[in-house]
Amino acid sequence: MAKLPEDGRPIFVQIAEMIEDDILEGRLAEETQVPSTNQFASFYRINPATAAKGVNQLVDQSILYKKRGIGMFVSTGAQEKLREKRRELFYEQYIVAMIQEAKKLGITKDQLTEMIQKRG
Amino acid sequence: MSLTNILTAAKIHFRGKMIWFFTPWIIVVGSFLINLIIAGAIGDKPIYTGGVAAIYIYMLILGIVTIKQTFVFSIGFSIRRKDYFYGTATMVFITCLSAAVFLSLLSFIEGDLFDGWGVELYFFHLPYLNEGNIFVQAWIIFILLVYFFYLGFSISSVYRRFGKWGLTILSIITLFLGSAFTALCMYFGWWTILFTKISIYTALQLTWWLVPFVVIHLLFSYWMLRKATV
Amino acid sequence: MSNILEVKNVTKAYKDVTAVNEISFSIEENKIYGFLGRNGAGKTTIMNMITAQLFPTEGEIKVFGEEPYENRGILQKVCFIKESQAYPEYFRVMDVLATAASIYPNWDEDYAQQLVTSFQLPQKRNMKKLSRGMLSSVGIVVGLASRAPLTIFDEPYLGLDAVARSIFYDQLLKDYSNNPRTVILSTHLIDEVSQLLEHILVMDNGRLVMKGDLETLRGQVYTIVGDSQKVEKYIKEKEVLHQEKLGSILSATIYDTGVSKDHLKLDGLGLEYVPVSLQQAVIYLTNRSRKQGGVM
Repeated sequence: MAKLPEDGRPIFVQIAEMIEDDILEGRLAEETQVPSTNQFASFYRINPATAAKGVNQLVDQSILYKKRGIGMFVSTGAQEKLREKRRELFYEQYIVAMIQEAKKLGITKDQLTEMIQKRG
Repeated sequence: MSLTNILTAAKIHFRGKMIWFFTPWIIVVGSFLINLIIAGAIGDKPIYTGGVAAIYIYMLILGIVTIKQTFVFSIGFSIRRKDYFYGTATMVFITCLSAAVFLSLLSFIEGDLFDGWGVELYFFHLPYLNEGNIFVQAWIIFILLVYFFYLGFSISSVYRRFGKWGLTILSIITLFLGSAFTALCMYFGWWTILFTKISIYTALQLTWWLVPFVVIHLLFSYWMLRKATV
Repeated sequence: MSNILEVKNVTKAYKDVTAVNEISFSIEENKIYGFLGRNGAGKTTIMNMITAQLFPTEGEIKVFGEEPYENRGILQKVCFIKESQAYPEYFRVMDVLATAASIYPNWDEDYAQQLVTSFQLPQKRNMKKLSRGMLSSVGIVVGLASRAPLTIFDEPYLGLDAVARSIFYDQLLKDYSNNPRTVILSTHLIDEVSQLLEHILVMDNGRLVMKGDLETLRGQVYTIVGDSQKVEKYIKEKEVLHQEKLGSILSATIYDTGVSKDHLKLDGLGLEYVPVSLQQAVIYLTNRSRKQGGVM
């Protein structure tokens, strides 16, 4: 049994995010089978309907698709699709926040660029 | 009506073999043995003892205890009140019948085979009550046992249905009616009439008078339990 | 989606107290419900009425479309595991199991035995001599192995240690996946079971203060922390359940029933989004209903 981070967000969102991460980082390759709803449910000890909701969210976005009688599979092109989606979020979640924090600390634009280059 | 479900309810009682079978017989046999020793020690004149009355008192108590032990449990385990009632009746029938058969056999052995166990002890074979053949005796014992059980069962069912207050009020009413009846009897001199009337009947004839009372107790306790709750 | 249980305007009044006050709700087939609320909120009373062990003063209850009272077909479809279940004095663990086996049509004896082993229950021990935790375990074994179409657990894990509770959750989910049925978990320990639930019903003082899809609720109650002016601006048109101030920092817990998804764009505003645990959310919403007079 694994534990979900108890952050109070809807669990199906967390499940969907976890599957997304697995696809992005290559642990779930395209055209491979995704664990079943019941497997998710017992692994994370969550309600099967909740797990299904997370999975179905990805089906709606065509990240996953259903093979009748077999299960869920990762769609071809899913990784690229997810990258695009996460890039948009990246700006909102990280860049904006970083610039705000930098402003607060008096870090200039040049210093910020320098920091990023040093790390990259 | 389904037999399986009634038997399921009966089995709940049957699992308490100790309180339904062993305890009453331990009391009766124990009492008998003590009397046997006393009779053996005294040994010159016949002893008639009422020791066997213990089993009738025991049935009264068992009737009271049964509801407390099993009613709430049974309805908590998805058993209908009706099935509980019939299941209990089945158990009572089996218990009383087997006890009646044993007691009348013992009466037969005591009265006809060993004549007071050689020490003139009359424990199971009592004058008046144990007259008639073995079947008549078994019937008399049976109906008495059933009567006492359902007397206790009715009292307990009032408690289950109406709680402490219900039982208190019932006691007061019973007491009041009882005293009123006694007073009337004394005032009009009914006692003598009543006793001479009763004494001309045999024990067997009197048991037929008991049957409607058993039926009344059965109906009454069923009526109480139909609306009883946890 | 069919409703297997309908409770309509049900009231249970005693001489001195109204245990259940005009409650209405329904329950859908094959879902896991959480029946939440403090001790004495009226949960057990409702469940006793569903199983015809108590009678409503007013209102109507239909179980699988029928009146449950003296209805054997319906009663045997419902297994109600009560925290305060009374047993005959002479009952041993095995007597309880054998009785349950003869009552519930879907009883799985192999599964019952497997659970008895998991919970390390002494079969021959008298029920009176069991510890509180073992008593709870017997209830859990009966509740799971009976596979009743409607299974109700009322405070099922009193006295159970973490290991036994863990077995219960795992078995419940596993058996529910393999043999779908409707489960109602009634408890005041909310957070521990919250992940197992699909729907919740919350009771307070004999009234129903909330019912709904749990995942939806999780998204609706959240806390915003940040500079008080910015927070004030954010919460202007929203319902605030609770707020606390520390210096110029304001923390506000919001009940956001709209589908605004405003909280997804908070970082740009310099506000922090903090999720609220279900336990906390229930407390806030209970207080809210008290202020509003408790009518849902």
